[in-house]
Amino acid sequence: MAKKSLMVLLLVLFASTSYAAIEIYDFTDDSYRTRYKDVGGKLRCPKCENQSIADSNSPSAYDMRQELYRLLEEGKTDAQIYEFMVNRFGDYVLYEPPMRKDTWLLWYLPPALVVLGLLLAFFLVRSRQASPAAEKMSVSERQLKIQQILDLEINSARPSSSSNTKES
Amino acid sequence: MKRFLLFIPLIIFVLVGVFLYKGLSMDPSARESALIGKPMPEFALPRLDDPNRIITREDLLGEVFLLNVWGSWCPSCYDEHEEIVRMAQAGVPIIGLNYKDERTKAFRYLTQLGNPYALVLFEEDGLRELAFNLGVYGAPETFLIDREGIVRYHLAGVITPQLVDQVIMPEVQKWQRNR
Repeated sequence: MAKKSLMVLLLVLFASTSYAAIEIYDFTDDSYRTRYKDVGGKLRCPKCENQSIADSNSPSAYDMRQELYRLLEEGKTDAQIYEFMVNRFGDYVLYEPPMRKDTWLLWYLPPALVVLGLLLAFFLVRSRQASPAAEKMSVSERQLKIQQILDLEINSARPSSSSNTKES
Repeated sequence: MKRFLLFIPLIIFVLVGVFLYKGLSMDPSARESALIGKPMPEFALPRLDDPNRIITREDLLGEVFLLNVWGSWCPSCYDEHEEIVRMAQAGVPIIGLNYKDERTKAFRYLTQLGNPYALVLFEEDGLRELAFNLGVYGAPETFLIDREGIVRYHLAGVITPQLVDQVIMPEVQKWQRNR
C-alpha cells in the first residue's frame, strides 16, 4: 500500500516534466545547431526580462526560435539575424548592447571607474609612504621624539589620576 | 587638493545613487517600439468574418487608424475593450488583429462584448505574418498608423481611460491634422 502511494506520488511529481514542450528542429547543417544554441542564448526574450529566448517558454520566445531556425536555414549570418530581430523588437533583445554614441557610457563607465579607483588607491598609498617627517629623522631623533610624547602623556594623565584618588 | 580627493568616493556614491533612484521609478517593461517612424510591414491576412477575403497593407492605408492586437485568451483585452468601444464611437477607425486565437473563440468574444472594430484580421497561431514583424510580444498592443502607413505611436499594455484622453486621442488628432 505504502509502495503504491509512493508510486502515485512520484508519478504526480514528475507529470509536469513530461508535459514540457519538446521542439524538434531538423538542421540541414550541423553548424546551424551550434549557432542556433549560441544565438538563441544571446537573444533576450521580449516578454520576460531575464531569460534568453533559448530558456524561455513564452509564446513570443517560441516564435523567435522558429524564426531563428528559418533564418539559419536560409543561410543568414549571425549579424543579419541580430539585425532582423532588432528591427522588430529593438535593442532590448540583445544581451550584448551595440557600441554606439548613446551607449558609450554603458560600455566605458565601468572600466573608467576601475581605473579611477586604482589611481586613487595608488596616490593615497604613495602620499602616506612619503610622509616627510618620518623619513628625515634618524634613529636617535626618533627615540627622543617618542620619549617626549610619552612624557607628555604621563604628565597630562597625572592630574586626573590624583583627582580620582581624592574622590575615593 | 588632497582634501578634495577624499570627496571622490562620496561623489561617486551620490552619482550611483541618483542613477539607482531613477531606476526605481522606471517601468522595465515600457520601451519604445522599434517600428516607430518606420512603415507598417507588408502582409496578407484573411478577415476574421470571411476567410476568403484577404486584406493587405494597401487596403488599410488612406486614413489614420489604430491597430489593436487582441485575443480571447488575453484577460487584459477584456479590460480595455470598453475604451476601444469609446474610441470607435468617437470616430477613430480601429482595425483589430486577432492574435494566437481560434476563430470560434474570437467570434464569441465579439458577440459577447460588442464589435468596435472596422475590420478584424485573423492571424492563425504560428503564422507570423504581421504581429511578429510588428514586434508584438503579447496582447494587448496598440499601434497608431498614419495616412502613409508609418507607425507613429505604440502601446504595449492595457488602454486606460487616462491614456485615451491624454495620449491616444491627442496623437490620433495630431496625425489626422498632418496632411
